[in-house]
Amino acid sequence: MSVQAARAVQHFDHEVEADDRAVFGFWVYIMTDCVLFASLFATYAVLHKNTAGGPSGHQIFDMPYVLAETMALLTSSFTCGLGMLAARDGRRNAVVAWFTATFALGLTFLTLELVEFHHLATTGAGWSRSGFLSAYFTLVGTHGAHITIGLIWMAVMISRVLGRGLTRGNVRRLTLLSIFWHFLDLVWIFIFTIVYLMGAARV
Amino acid sequence: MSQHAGTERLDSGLAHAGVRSYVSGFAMSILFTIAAYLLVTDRVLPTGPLVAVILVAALAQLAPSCTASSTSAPSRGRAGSSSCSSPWRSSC
Repeated sequence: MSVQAARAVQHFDHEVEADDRAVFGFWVYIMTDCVLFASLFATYAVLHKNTAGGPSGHQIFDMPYVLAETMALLTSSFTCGLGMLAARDGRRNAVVAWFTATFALGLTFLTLELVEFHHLATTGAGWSRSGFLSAYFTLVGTHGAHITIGLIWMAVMISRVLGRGLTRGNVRRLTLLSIFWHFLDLVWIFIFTIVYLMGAARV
Repeated sequence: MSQHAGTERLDSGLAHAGVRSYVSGFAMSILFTIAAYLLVTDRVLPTGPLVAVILVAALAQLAPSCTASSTSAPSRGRAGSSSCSSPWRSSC
């Protein structure tokens, strides 16, 4: 094997190692986020009946509205997955299109959530009204903050793919972004079930 | 490379994915979400058609796809064979 070929192989090995480290490190981060959300869910479980004379979940949750939020986020996870398939196949324009769709759906979800928060706050069901509402706003708001960060990350990645194409580094970052986005989708399913559905069903 | 000797590469799972699995997974997530919503809000839940659709979607995951178009799926010890994604080798 020539010196150049050996160097090329070594460089490739370094790239693969960098991919491995990034994916592993990101999974470790996801695990820490699991702990964070587990704590917030536990807090909500303890406080969800502490309404202090204020409204309960059954009274304030608008279920068709929440279902629309859920559909937007589920669909965004789907388009994100299709974007990753396009990235695997090296189709740059498809990647940009699918991630732009994901961004639009994520932004729709975030807007719906902020409108819901504003409505609750202006109708006397704000953060400080009761322990239940404090736990609710903290849990759902933390998820919303993650969505905001994901949207910023997505906008950066779309511009990077547009500017530099589907380089190995960009595909690696897109992979991490898709893991993050699917994780947020998963957390929302738990929020939808435990906070909204169980709250609406008065369990 | 010495620190990786004897260890497998980390796998993000992307190489195993396909459009069909994403579509059926998405359809099932929508179905289950709407089913849960309808159950909680005490509306009519068409159990029969819902279960049928879920079963079809689940079976679609196991159906063979012996196409030559899939390129990056791991060979799983079948180097040089057709790119069959079915867990049932005999079905291809």
